[in-house]
Amino acid sequence: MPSKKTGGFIPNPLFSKAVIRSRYRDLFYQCTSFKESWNVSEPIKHDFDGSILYAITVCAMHDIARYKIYHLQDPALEKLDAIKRAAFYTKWITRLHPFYAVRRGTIVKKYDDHDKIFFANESFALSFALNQLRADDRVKVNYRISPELWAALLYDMKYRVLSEDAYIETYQMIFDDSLGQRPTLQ
Amino acid sequence: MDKEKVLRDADATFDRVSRTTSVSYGATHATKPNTSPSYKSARIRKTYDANVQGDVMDAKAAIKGYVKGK
Repeated sequence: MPSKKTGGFIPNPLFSKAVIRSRYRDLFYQCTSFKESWNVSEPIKHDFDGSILYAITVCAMHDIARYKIYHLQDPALEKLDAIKRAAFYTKWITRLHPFYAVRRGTIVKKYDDHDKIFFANESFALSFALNQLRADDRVKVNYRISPELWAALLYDMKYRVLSEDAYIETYQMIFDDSLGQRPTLQ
Repeated sequence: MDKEKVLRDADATFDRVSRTTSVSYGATHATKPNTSPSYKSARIRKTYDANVQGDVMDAKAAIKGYVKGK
């Protein structure tokens, strides 16, 4: 239940409301950017829900706080790496689905089994995660995964049951690949 | 894309939603107190780690005793 002091905002054990707001702004901006490029290339327009983005941010930041408290010696000072951040955000984006199709009267397009429009949320989750990985100085800014891997990951996010631990392992291997190293597991 | 406008929209949405939303869907851990050791302070975490190690030592001692008893 929302507390009387903070309204609907649920206090995080590590992060202040200002920090969560800044993460929300980042996510909101990337969502807007993704939506604009998606709507140019895809026949059915999509939009996103700001309140679901809020839930994603709050939930992911709670996961991050819990991970830091348990695994880091000094949770308040040490930062979590990009792989874990990407994994926790992917988990919540694929669960809560911020993007939805905007219906305009009659449907003018037929669907097929390999249609990209079924994967708007998963596409955003993966592109957001790769942006997180690219934020690491060691990863090249223009690093990309192969189209085959991209498609396989989208399929797994949509139809398989993947936990945050599975995402951490997957992103660890992608991260190693981006550095030209053999994939390792955590 | 006007970045400043997008960020203003983000701020307005955040203010509106954080006043009214309790994030009850999906995030059950965010609305209930989490009593697991992982959610407590670092001090308690260290105590927990020590207890786990203690359990391991007890287990080793038990195995030793068992082997001796045999």
